Amino acid sequence: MQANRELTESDFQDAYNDLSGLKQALESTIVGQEGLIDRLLIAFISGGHILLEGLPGLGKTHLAKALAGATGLKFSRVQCTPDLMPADITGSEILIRDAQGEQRLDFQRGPIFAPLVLVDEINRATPKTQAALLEAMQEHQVTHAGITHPLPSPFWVMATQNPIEIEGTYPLPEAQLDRFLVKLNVEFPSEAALLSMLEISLDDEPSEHLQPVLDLERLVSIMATGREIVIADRIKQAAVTLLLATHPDTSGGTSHFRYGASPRGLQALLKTARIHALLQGRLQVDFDDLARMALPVLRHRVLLTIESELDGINCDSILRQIIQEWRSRI
Amino acid sequence: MSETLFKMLPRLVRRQQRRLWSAQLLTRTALPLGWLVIILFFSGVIHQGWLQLNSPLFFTLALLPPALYLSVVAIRRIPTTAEGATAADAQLKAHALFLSAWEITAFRQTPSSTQKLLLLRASAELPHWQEQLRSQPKQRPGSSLLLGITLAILGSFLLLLPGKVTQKALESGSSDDAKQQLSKDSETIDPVAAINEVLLAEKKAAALKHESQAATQHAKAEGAHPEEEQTGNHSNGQSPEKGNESQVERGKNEKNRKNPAARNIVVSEVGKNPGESAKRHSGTAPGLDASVTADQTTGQAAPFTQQRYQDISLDSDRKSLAFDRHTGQHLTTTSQPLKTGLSSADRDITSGGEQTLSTSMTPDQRVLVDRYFKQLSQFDASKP
Repeated sequence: MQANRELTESDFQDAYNDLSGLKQALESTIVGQEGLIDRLLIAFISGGHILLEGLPGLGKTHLAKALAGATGLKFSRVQCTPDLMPADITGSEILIRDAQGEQRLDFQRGPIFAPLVLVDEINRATPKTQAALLEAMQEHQVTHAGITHPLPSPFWVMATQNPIEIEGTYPLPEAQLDRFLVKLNVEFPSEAALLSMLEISLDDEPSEHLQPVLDLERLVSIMATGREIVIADRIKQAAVTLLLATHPDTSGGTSHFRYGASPRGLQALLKTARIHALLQGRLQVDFDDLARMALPVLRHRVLLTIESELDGINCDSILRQIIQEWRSRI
Repeated sequence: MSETLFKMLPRLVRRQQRRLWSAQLLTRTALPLGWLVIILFFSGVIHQGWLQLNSPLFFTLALLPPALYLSVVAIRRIPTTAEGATAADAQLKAHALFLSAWEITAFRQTPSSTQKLLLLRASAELPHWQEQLRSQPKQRPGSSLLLGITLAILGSFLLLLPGKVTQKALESGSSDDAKQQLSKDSETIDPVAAINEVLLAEKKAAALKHESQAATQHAKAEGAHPEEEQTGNHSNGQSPEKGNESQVERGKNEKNRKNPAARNIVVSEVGKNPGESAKRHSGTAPGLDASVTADQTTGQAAPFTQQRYQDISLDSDRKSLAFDRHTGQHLTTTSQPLKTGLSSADRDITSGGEQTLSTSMTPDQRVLVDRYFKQLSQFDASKP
């Protein structure tokens, strides 16, 4: 609807103000995670799915709840376990008896039918369940018994996983990881942030009382405005160069990666860079936007070589090095 | 406003493109130019201090590779307009507003609504951009560049000047190093050395002639006036007119001494002390010292270029004077045979063991000496 009308300066200004308001609302409930909130918001406005990785107790679920509360979106949660079945997520047909007393099979929608779905500890679900979930994420629909059930639009999945618990888990395959727009690492908060957190959330859960600052319609409007951000050809070329730098078989590519980022990664990079620019109040994407968003967008799309893994090399450190070199060349 | 933007942005991009090009040239050629400066400077120092270098050839060899490299770099590394726009954007810290606006103005015909907004923002920023790009500091040469230029100029100057080794050799004319240097520089025979050798030979010959005359007189006097032999004041038979001629010649020599080209040619020396001269030269006019010692003649082969000494010639008068004046009694000579037209290996006449010429000769020796002087007098008479 927004694409049909002429955008004005005030439209962008309003979008910028609304986003700033949403960011402030989230920061008031989640203390000491400003960078994480920024990136989460960018991925959220970009319309992509988010993978949060962090130790238990760092506020991943709390963050998802706060986002749902601030946007007024319906929120559902799936706690993944090895015995979780696909139907537990997507839904299943059950026998119901209607008012006339006739029995029939009716499709009972699962928790996936919500605009914002929190999938907790996704790596504990079996590959079969993961595949069903990730198919829904990609297609934005669920097919059951030959009938297609569309998912709500917009639709977001926020999945979490624990990096230290390996036993009894099923790590997501690379192809499925690629469905997530970003992978965000939830860092341990600083001492000052911990103290502040005690002040506001010792006996209460602030995210449960958060009032919506945006409605769904406004959210959709902001997302449409974000898609109008200008990306210069030179910036696009630079994004391609950065992506190719993660490939081992291209000139100037790193040898630490077995596989580089996919073309979907390039799309994700530019999508998130646009919203990053909007969040900065700009109408155009800058090289810095690409540099800022490259790490969360690319880190789950590259695969280290066996030698690098055995050497204990971190994927993030290699990517940081690549981004730094790329930025200095531009 | 938009028209101004369409006109001004490409202009600003071109300006930045030129700046980028010059900056890239400076960066990429810093290393070869640095090496060139080092080579020029140290070559100049070497040229002045130790070894004379062929300057034009050296300049060509030193300058050609960096010049070629510079040309290749200059041609290959011309930045594109997109690079110029990117550089300008970075310079202005415009967060890609300049770059995006330039791309819209350069390539897009009908901008979208967002692009129009972007162009409006760019138009508002344009005066600041113009001012910033105009007032950006010009690329001034850094201290290292100034030092490099100074060293290069100094090195070139040192190379262009004649080598110090050559100058010293020309001025002193007595240094063995200079002789060696000259013999390295040129394979031609040193004319001064050759002339000195000829003069020395002539003087020795004159001494022998006088000795033989003295011996003849002595033989005559033995029969007639034995007491005259003891005084021996006019044993050389030199007339007063001859003495006057000698004075004239001495004046010439004085003039020659002032001339740096001719001062290495020692024909005669006037002693400072007439009494001493009289002691040394019995038979010559009082106060006239026309002696040449072996020390004065040897070791004075002054190196010079043929061009510098081309006006020097040996006239017959000087030779005859030398023959007439020297009795040869006081001379010391070397043990080497007299040589003229010597090969380079034999050119250096070094004083060996001193030998006093004996006045007593065997008849055979006298015959030989007489014949030798006859030949010499014939040679002198044939000269104009």
